[in-house]
Amino acid sequence: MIGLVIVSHSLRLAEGVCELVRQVARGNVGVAAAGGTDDPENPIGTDAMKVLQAVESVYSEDGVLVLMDLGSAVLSAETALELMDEERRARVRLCAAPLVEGAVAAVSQAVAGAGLEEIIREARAALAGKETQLGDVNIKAAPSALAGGGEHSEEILVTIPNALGLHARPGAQLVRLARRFQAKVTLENITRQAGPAEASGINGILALGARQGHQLRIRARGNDARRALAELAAFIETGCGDKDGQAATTPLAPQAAEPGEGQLKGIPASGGIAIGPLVKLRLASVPVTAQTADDPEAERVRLLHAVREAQEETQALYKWAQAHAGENEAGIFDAQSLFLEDPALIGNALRLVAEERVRAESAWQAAAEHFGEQLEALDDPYLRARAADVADAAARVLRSLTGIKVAMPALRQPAILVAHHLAPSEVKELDREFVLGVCLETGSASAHSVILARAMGIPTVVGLGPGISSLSDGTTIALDGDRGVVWVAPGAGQMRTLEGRRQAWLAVRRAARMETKKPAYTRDRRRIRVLANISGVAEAAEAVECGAEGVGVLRTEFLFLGRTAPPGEEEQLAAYRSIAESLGGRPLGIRTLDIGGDKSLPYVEIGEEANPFLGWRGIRVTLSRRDLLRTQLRAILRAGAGHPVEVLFPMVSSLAELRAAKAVLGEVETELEREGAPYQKGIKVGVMIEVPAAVAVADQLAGEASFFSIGSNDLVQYAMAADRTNARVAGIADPFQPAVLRLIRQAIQAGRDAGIGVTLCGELAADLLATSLLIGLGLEEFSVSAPLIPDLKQAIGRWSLPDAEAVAREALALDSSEAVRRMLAGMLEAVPRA
Amino acid sequence: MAIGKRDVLAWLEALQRVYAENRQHLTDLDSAIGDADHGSNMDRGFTAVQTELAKNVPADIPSVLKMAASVLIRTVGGASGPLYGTFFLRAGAACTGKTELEPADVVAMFQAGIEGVQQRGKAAAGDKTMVDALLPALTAMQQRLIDGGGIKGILDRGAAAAEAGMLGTIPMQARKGRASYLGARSIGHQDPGATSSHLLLKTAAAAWS
Repeated sequence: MIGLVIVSHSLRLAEGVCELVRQVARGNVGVAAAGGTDDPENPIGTDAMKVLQAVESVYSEDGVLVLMDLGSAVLSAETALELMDEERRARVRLCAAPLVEGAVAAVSQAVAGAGLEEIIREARAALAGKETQLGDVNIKAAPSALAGGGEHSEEILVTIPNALGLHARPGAQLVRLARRFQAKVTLENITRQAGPAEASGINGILALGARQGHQLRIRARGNDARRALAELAAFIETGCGDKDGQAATTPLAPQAAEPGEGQLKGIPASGGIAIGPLVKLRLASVPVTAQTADDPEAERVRLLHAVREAQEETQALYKWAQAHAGENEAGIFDAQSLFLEDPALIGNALRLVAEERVRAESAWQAAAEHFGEQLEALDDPYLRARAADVADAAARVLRSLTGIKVAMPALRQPAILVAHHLAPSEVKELDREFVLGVCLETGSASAHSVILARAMGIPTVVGLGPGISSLSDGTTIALDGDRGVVWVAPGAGQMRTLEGRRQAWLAVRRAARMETKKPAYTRDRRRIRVLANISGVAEAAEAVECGAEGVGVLRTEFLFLGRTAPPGEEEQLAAYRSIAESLGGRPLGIRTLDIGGDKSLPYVEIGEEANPFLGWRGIRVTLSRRDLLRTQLRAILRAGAGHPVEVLFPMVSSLAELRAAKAVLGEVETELEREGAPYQKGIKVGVMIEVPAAVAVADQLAGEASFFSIGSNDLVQYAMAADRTNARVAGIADPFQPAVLRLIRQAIQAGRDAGIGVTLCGELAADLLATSLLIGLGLEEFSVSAPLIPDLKQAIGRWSLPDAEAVAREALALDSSEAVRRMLAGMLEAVPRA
Repeated sequence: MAIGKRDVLAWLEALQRVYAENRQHLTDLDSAIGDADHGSNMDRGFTAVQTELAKNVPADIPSVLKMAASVLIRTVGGASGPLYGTFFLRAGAACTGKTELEPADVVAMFQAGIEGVQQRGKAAAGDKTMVDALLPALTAMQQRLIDGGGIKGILDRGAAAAEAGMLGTIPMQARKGRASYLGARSIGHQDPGATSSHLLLKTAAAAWS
């Protein structure tokens, strides 16, 4: 039986409301009053103990709903909840519904058999009847009356399942998802009573402060409202795109402050020991003075231009972080670019420019600060930490407007940096050679800048408080990033101990690095090659650093995107050559331009296609734009002079295409021969196996190709006919589907039969769940993004070939992707650690 | 010096005296921007704590603080009931398992209590509330702890920062609680909650010196 508690400053009011609803309840709902205080001289007030007793008196597992009047009644009700044990507390809900109407609505619903959530929804909407009757409609409460145009509106309730809730990264994904629909979508956090916020703006979504267990109401209005709701709900309910285990990045609680003599205690953020002179970092903030503008239109253009520039800068940061810290951490810059394009943020700034006639700088600063403050005010430390990310992105716009570049001080000798805080993009500027460690006054272990520092292996302690900045430059300090301790001017004895620990740490790090540079072997000493997928010049050195034995796929689109004319031969040659040089003799597989699908170029007219992914894409484009193909092949062949370069054709679906491409290659070779230019003769030609048709004729392709590279991402989509960015069918597009596994087996087998090499270069290659299965299927070469290489090499070492083959046999005999995943997870659990 | 149960009891006893002495002062402040009951509420609450202690003294520091919390919650009536109640509740929880409080424990205790107040009232710095006295006090105490101060030094710093914070509420416009209904007319008055919070720290500094 559901219980209802009425909290009021007045005993008589509380009891009166109870009396009223008992008529409706007729014994089917437990009703209790918590009104006034026990003090006869001051009877008006609230008492959390009374609330607690009232809740306990009507408590059952069906739950208790608490309605209250105002002010201290709300605080007392919250305090009462804090006094309950956790399990019971979870079944008690405080609700902002109007006291009398809400109570009557709630009890009516409860008598009708509704569950707690439904009851709450009805109670909160309980003023509707009275408002309609009196024609007294509160505009804020009825947004549909303003903009709805009478369109049909739908809503759905969802609960946030993932540990970190709707933080920046999933927030960004949700915004992108919502923008795919015409329907106007809003989200409201019922638990925190925040919102509604437009789903098209990241800032509003973050301000909802949605965390694990919070209930959200998603409302959509418009043509595809229902579809929008289904997809957004599916996105949230499946964990907001967070992978398992990310709870590990939840903020660490500051440890008990017990600093010893000459020590400062902070929060451990990035492991390792550093000793060196302190250098304080004062990042000059960009000064903005309020000035009126003569020409608002010019200011508008300036602002939009600066936002665009900041966007581009953010994209560059995204790519950098992707290469250095992996896709997951790079997500912050994706979220930042959404901050920058948030219509609400830009709209506010533009309004200030138009209405207040202020300059773009101050308009932007005011608008961005406003949102930062909203985030700062949230209870949630993780979301509060996002305020720094917003400020970081916003400062980029200001710098673009003012032309003031904030540069990191150039260090002349190795030092430990001390700063108030560090923005994610500033971490990128840290010189790895000279920055021994970082100490921050503020910050949490979950701040993105800290995560990046961790990825770069820089020992870091945060949350030290202002004390650290009172030290003068040049003071010798030492820090322990694992324990969060900083020593100020350590004595000789202390110094010896610390130096010993630093050497030990460096030795461990060197060993780990050596380990990752070693070739990978299975337990029974079978050699498995691990290569890197890269898409830029700078990533090549990183790949080597991470232990790549070469580059499996260089995606060359980076040379072609974001410009109005294709790159010339010399420009391409320089890029390929520079990458090949960074690889120091390791093989480099260069994939020819793969445009079409979701990527288009202004100088390649693709036109409207009903199905771009089934349209003019990859080799299909370059075979008809021979000019592009010839130029690229010339550059690749020339880069191959003296370097082990290979060429790889994407999206091949028939032998005819491979032959046509090889014919062009032959022509280009003849040309280079005639010109007497140095180039690689008899270059290896690879075929991307990413269309099921290519698998079906793999035996034929193998006869004329030097190697196969299985692109599992596209292969999965095309084999399952399911778009993995479409939430409704994304589950179907699972690489562990038996159909996909059979295709992969067939492709590997065809390659082995013909005696040519086979590489797998999709996300599946990096999925450690799949390592044994792939080895067991006979795969001898993996190609993954560089930061994932050390983990993959370690995973390979855990399996022997016979064990892996047994896993593969068993997996191929199963009849669903779920069964395969379950089996593989079980096997992974059972296999010994390397 | 470490703080024992006897010191905690002395603090509560002194608080009763201090709030009784300041009853009129707090009520005057509250009548300017609130409902003129803060002085009598605080006085009633802390007197009730003494009445309860006269009947029964709990075994250790955490249970003394928790008992004070539940009495305040029951008897204060207004919003300061759950707010100060939460302060002592969280402060008590932070002392779990401790028979004596070292400087770091004292700061941890205040930190837990102050964070509790902030969470319960959802007030931010600058809203013209208790938080405007408590937060600067916490920061000052943490700083002093890092600098290696003893309990007296820590609390003196905390009380001084709370006083400055309290005076800082005068030019603020209230954004929380009943005073927020006054809008700009709340400017120019010292916040009664910040005042009682200053007294909380000042009394601790005096009792534990």
